[in-house]
Amino acid sequence: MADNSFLKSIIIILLISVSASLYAETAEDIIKIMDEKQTFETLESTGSIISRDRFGTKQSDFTSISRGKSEFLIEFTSLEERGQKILRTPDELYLFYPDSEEIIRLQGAALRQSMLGSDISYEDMTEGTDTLSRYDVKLNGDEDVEGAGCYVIEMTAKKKNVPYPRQVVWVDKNIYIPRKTDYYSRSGKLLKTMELKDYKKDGEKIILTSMIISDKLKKNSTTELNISSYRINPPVHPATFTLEELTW
Amino acid sequence: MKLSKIALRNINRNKRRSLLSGSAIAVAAASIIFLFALLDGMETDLADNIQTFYTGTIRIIHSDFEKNKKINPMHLTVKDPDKIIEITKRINPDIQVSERISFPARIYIGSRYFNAMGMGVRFPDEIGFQKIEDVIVEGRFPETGREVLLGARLADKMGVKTGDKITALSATAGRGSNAMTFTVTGLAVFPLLEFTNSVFMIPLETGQDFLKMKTDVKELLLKYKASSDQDAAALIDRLRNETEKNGIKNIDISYWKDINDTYSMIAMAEKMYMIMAFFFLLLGCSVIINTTMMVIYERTKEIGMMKALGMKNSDVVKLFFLESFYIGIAASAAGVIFGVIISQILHHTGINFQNMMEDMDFEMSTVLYPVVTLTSVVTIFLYSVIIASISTFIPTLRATGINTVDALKHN
Amino acid sequence: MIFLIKLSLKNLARYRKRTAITSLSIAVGLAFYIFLDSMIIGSVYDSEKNLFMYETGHGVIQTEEYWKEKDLLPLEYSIKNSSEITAILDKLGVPYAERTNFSADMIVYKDPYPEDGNLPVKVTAIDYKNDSNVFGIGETLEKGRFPQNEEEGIVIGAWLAEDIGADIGYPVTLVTRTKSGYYQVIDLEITGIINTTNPVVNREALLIPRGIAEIYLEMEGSITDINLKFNGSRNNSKIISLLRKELSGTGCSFHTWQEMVPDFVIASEGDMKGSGVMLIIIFIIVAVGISNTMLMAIFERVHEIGMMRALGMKDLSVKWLFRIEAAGIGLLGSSAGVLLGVFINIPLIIYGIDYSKMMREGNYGYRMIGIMRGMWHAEAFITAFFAGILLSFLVSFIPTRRALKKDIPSCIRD
Repeated sequence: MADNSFLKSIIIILLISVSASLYAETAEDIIKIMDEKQTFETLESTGSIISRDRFGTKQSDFTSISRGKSEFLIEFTSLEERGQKILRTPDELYLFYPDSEEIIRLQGAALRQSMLGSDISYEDMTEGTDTLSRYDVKLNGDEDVEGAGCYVIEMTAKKKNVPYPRQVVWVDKNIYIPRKTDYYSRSGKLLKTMELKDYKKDGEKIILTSMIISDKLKKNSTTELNISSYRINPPVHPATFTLEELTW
Repeated sequence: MKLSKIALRNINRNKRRSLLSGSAIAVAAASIIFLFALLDGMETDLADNIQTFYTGTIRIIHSDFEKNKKINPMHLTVKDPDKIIEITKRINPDIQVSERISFPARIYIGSRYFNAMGMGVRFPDEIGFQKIEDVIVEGRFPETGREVLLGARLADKMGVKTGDKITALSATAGRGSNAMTFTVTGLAVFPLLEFTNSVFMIPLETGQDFLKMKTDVKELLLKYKASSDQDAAALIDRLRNETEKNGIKNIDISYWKDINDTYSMIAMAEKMYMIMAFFFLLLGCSVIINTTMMVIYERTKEIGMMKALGMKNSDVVKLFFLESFYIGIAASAAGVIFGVIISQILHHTGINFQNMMEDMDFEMSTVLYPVVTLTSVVTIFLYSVIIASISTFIPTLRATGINTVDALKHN
Repeated sequence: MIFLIKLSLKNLARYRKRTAITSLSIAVGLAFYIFLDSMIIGSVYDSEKNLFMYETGHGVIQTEEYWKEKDLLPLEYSIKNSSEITAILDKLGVPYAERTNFSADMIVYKDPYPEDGNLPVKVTAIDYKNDSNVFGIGETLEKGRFPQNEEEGIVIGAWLAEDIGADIGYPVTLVTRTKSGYYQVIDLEITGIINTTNPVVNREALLIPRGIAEIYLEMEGSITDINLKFNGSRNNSKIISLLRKELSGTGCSFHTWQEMVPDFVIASEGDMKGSGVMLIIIFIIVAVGISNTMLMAIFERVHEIGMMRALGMKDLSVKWLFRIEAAGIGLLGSSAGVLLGVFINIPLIIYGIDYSKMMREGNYGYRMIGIMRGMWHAEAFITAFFAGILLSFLVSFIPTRRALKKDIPSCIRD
């Protein structure tokens, strides 16, 4: 029987450690899982950005290819901006316009401009999915968001080179996706809110397919981001994320 | 013998004296005419530049544009300009129309960038509207496609020559951004320094393409000779009615004088010119008075003689007044005519300040065209005759040793 | 020669009325010239003063990186070693003001404002300790007060207030970035409204205390601009070159006010030249007026010329007699003209010509509102003085030569 009790205890220890990895987590773990679920070796997607404000509604369609945490290439397909591309390399953000022979490198204050009149700035796009390198995170209890149980995680900027010094993210306890994110200014005022409207599961990975970002300071100003189709780990030519390729 | 006859004979007898006294009046009248023409020319020029480059005589823009102009609302465009033009031409076929898209842009040349003001225009139409062929100092104006005409100073600042390429980035009507590369086909020196400094012009269709405006434009400028402000107001009313009837919405039609920024500029210039005109009149006055007084002082002995021969004081005063009056009429007429002729000649040829200016740093047009108005002709003629005649009183009254009251009594 | 001078003086005294009238005509012309020059110089000076007093000072020190991108108001390139720079300025005895300019999105809401709105603005943080060393903002309050150094208050330009429908006590929200790039929202209350003589300031000014910028923008003691004022000359080249030498190696550089506002410099240069053309034309008219009177004075004396020649005076002597006389009249006229100019200039400088409300809208580079004033401009007085003398002197050449061409009897007969 001694053998049996030994086996039992091993099973119990194993069970405890497994459950620990699954349930009783630290904020870091939660964010790490959340980031991992949204990080792909490569990802191809098509979708649209719909912005609404006092002047009306505007829709821009795009296709995008991303690799890892900090490289992506977006190409717009809707009539207004057909052929325009945004390239993010680990260090820079470039704009390519089909009618222009110059590639425009955005830097400094120019990164803060709004992209296509939306509530998203170019800088917001450079956020990527490497949250922990930029933010200290803290678990602040749990709360339901539209019926889904969520961890409330407070994120505080580690370095000063990020636009939002503080964010609060509600991470779904079951599937580790951000149900809602609040973005605060340095003085603690709520600037923007992101609400998740839809997502798609694909194996271990999750793709956020619909979200709404609203500007809390300007009235009636929202931006909707929708992904209509995607492909995980498509083959990507190694030169895709280079300037030379951009002009093609 | 009648006094008027004596006066005429006196004028005839001493021709040189009459001529000198008259020439002073004539020169004064002619110069004032010319200077007034110059001032009027400057004012016309300013009004003309504002209408040509900024507002037209009548400006049509999107009705919400003005309210939002601080946030550069590129999407607030004028839709269906062709229909508006058609309506305009139906009302009055002589109205010149300029379709324009003006937009703030940033020009990139390698890693450097410059802020500039872009303008999409129909170059063939601008030949009539702003005499665009006159402003080109090098090269030619863009025809179609991605060609650009650069303000000469802007080109200089950027170190760009004809044949070089520039890339402009701007917000679009689609509320996105776009960049386009253009080839410089020519350099321009506009009558407005601000334009020479910061404007680049591209063909309208290219601009519509660049800024995703489809067939829209940002503004329609109508230019025509309004006979009066009421006349313009009537035309604007008709335009408003007709466009509304044709279902054109969201447009604002304004008379250039009602567009705040511009009118205050004219008002300021007007006040400035009035002050200058006033002083020109004073200056002319002093020249005429001096000459007339001088002539009479030279003749003090003659006055004594006349009195000794039994001529009444009042008659002496009248005689000199009449002499001066006749000379005044003849000289003023000659002066005014001379002034008008000179001004008219220069009105056609223009006075080119360019050579005087050395470089092109000049706020107003480098070529100035004096403008003679009927009001100034009549005013100046009467003014010089009156000044010349009245100025005889001072010396003659003193020379005859009586005061004004007595002179009037004796009348 | 002495004899000629004496004789011509005697002549001037003898024909007192003629002398008086001719010199009066010169005087009026010159006074007119002085008047116009005074107005032109005065208005340029005034708008320059408005620029110095409220916008630029006589120049600015910024970091080299900041200057290159100054259109974007990049806080990240602010001056971190400002105490090092101010120590240099203290050593050179140059008064300075420390300011920080930053861009923001200003948001206002319906009630109390007439409607919701947001517009891009430039905000200036001023340091109460030294702002008045260079700028005159302190005396321009129309309403309310300046906030305390760390009070969340904002002072705005009168025209801007009118445009957006703002008043004292209204809230203003500024969305901006801290120096390092964090989003920042600053809620402020309007505590004061300023009305300056500078239209650009009235239309755009948004002033907050440096303490608020320090806290909210996390400036860590840095500032973007150090504005300077030079004692005496506004372009004090000696101090500037000294300053430039001292600044080398600090990462900061000095830029003159002309470099800061090129639009203004171009506008006033153009205007000066335009006015120059006007002055030339006026001068021509004045010259015609003067020469006419002079001609008359000399033609009237053909008889006298004949007499003098008959009495054996040499032609050259006659010529010089008249020239000296003309110069004498010129001297009298010029003196009177300069005096008259002074006389006209006094009310022009004290009261000026009222322009008010005309500069309310629009921006044409000129920084001037309300009253257009004249100015003392020694150059114009000197030019007028000598031009008057020279002009009448030269004018006398023509008629004397003509009178001398005639034979003596016909001269006397005349």
